[in-house]
Amino acid sequence: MTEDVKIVGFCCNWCCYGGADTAGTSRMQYPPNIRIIRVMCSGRINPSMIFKAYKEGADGVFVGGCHIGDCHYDAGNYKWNRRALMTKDIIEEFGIDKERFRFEWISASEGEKFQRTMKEFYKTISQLGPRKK
Amino acid sequence: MLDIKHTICPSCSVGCGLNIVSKDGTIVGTYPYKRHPINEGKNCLNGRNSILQFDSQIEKPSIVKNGQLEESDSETVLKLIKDQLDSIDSSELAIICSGNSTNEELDRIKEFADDFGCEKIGFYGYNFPNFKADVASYDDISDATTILAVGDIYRENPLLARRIILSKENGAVFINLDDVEKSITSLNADEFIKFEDHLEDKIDAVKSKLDENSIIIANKVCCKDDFALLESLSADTGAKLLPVFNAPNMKGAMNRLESWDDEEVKNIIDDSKVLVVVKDNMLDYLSDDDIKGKSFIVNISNEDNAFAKISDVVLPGKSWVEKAGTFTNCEGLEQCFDISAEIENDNMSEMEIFDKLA
Amino acid sequence: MSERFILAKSKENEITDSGACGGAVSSIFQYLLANELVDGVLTLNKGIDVYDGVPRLLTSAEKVIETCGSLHCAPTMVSDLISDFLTDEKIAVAVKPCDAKAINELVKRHRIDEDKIITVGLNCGGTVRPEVAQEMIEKFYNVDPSRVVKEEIDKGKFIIELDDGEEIAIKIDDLEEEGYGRRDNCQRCELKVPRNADIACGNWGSEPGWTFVEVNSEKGREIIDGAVSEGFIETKAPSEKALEMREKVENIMIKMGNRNTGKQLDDDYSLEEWEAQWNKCIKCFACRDVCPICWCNECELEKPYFSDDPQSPPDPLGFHGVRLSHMSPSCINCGQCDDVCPMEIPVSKLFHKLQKKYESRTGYVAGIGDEKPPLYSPMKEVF
Repeated sequence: MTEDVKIVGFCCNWCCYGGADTAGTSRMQYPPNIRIIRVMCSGRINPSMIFKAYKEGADGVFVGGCHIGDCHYDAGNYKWNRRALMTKDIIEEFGIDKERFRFEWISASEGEKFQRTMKEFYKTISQLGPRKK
Repeated sequence: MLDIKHTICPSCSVGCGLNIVSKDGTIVGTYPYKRHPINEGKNCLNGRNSILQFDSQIEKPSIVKNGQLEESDSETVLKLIKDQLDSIDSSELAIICSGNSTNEELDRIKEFADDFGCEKIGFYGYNFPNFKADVASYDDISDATTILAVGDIYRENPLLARRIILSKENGAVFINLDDVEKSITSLNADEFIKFEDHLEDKIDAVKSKLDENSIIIANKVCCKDDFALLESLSADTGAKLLPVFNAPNMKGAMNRLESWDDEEVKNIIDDSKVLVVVKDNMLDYLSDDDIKGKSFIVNISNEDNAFAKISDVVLPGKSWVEKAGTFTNCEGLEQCFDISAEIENDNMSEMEIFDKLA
Repeated sequence: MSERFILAKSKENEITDSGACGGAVSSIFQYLLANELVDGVLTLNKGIDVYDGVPRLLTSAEKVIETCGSLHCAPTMVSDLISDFLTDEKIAVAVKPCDAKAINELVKRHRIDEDKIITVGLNCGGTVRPEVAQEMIEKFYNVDPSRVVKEEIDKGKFIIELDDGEEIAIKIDDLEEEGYGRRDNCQRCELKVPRNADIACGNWGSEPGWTFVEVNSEKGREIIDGAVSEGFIETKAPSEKALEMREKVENIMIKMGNRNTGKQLDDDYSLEEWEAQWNKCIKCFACRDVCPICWCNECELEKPYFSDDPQSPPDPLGFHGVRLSHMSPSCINCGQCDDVCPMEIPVSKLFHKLQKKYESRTGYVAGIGDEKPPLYSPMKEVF
């Protein structure tokens, strides 16, 4: 790990953001490199938001939503899942390692999963290093 | 009724083909003209946007009072102009043309000037002097081994940049000379040389790289002296020269009329009592103070701009889609085009205006 | 009559003379206009010569004669003309398979009203860029391109007919090996018979003087029946042999398409080469504007958060990536974006490649069927 990396994390209000909150209130430590953006639902995230994050210099982008079946808006995370697969296809064509993009289902009670995921993702991104501009 | 017709793009002097889509007499869009040998259906944003002029244009002959246009009619406006012309000596008239008129119109205006005894007829040449020597053709770009571009060709003249790109694919070396920090042209060049204000001290740096298989393309010069430098660079090295202009028929105007720089235009305004300006926005290169209050300004243009508001009378003339004629592009090719949209309006064409004024 | 395959022939002789073959298409258009079933017919007309195709809207049956014959050197796209300018009218339109695909995608997006459009498909072996065609005819056919009065793609050959009636044919494969021939997109095309149009017409498998027609929809059936009963066309059943012939020709063309798709998309540019391509981009929006399917009242790419330094090319992911995310699942491989790019960036390759990927994952074939890409589905399904 030479230079510090920047990670943007989009978390859905009802589950993953709650998970991050749980991790925080339970004082579970995770790398400070992640900057969280709260969105109401993973289903409101579109690929261009991910691309914008990379454009602005993110080295990794994380998206967290409710577990499949638990979406507060019924089917939002299904929609995101479909977009996520396409997002992966597209970033690869532009030379961004698909490891730099990760999405995960994390519930509000899974503070531990949030912590673990962040640690893992930070490790992956650190190993890949900052993206060359 | 939907109608699609060929025309020549009016946005610069490259001479691309463009299809105009009109419906019931209104211009609604453009459509690729793939048969056109110069651009093969490719048009830049400026070209495709050239139809936006129809969104806001001067539609009626007008008299300008206190900076506002008041709609009038052709007879009244023509009478005003005639009265002014009758009251002056032939040396007190100046006619400013532009590369936006067709060759036929320029010839007609020149004829009018000759009959009137007016010697001050010319156009603002954006620092390019009259240049009668042979210019390079677009095919010469494809065949060149070294290309020197002065200015941001990629952004200003993308369809010429395309020729450079194709030539680069065949192994041509591309050098860019400009006074900006960076541009898309400079980023795509094999070598970028930045100059400050004038070209002079950079000429030697490129001289050794050019030979008779080279081509110099310039779309921007800051003074006539700089162009003379390029001319001698071309003469010394044998490289062909291609000046590129920002109006569709600037080359045609070059062949017919005197090309003035801003000082020359200013002097002419100062010495004239009546100024006839045809399809030119003088505020593009002069300030309000250079123009205002010095002469009676006859503005023949449909463009709704600040210059119209400092003129005395405005005649819209016809827009390029409404007329037929020829434009000469920067490689010297004269291209004929026909009326590309049947727009209903009873404005006089430039030809008719000068017929009436004669 | 309810056969899917028929042979049709015009009943008016002046049309048979100038039509592509049999003139049945022209007669069908005449029938539609004469009986006021449509307000207008949108077809491709010859402009200055055979290399110049100009879409034209015809509003009376008499004018249809002028439009007969097909143009293989005019890679046009008509769907956006309909969705942008002709939504108020009921029209019939002559379509290539890619036009029909684009119309299909626009119908799904409610940009074209299905009830106001009749699509008369023309079998298509591909188109050649006008400038390439002329160069090619001079170089390989040793003929002055202006002498060509008609061209045809049949049985893997590009055939030209000269003003004195002479025909010269050269194998497309040979031309394409030399970098000439059809547009890259047409080389990759796998839809030759527009079964997504109401009827699909062509000369593959037909007898001299007759047009082979495949009826694809109920609407198509009504048109054929009407044109017969009103006396504009006569029909007969094709022979078994004709059916086989047609299938064979189509399969050969599809196989060629498959092979080229593999060849062109797999041996794609490297990332470095793509970077050099993106470096040329001047963000002129020509690719967006020409895309027949791409439309929004407010384009995301013009939002301030996607603005770029005007002195640099746009961020590739922030411009082309966003366009890909919007359009690639629905890319019909019409190649218009490549055609109009002033900077010669082969954008369509990436769009087509990602569509193929999307297709293999979801089964969604752009431009065919009634469903939008599953990307827009509200359903709880993984794809």
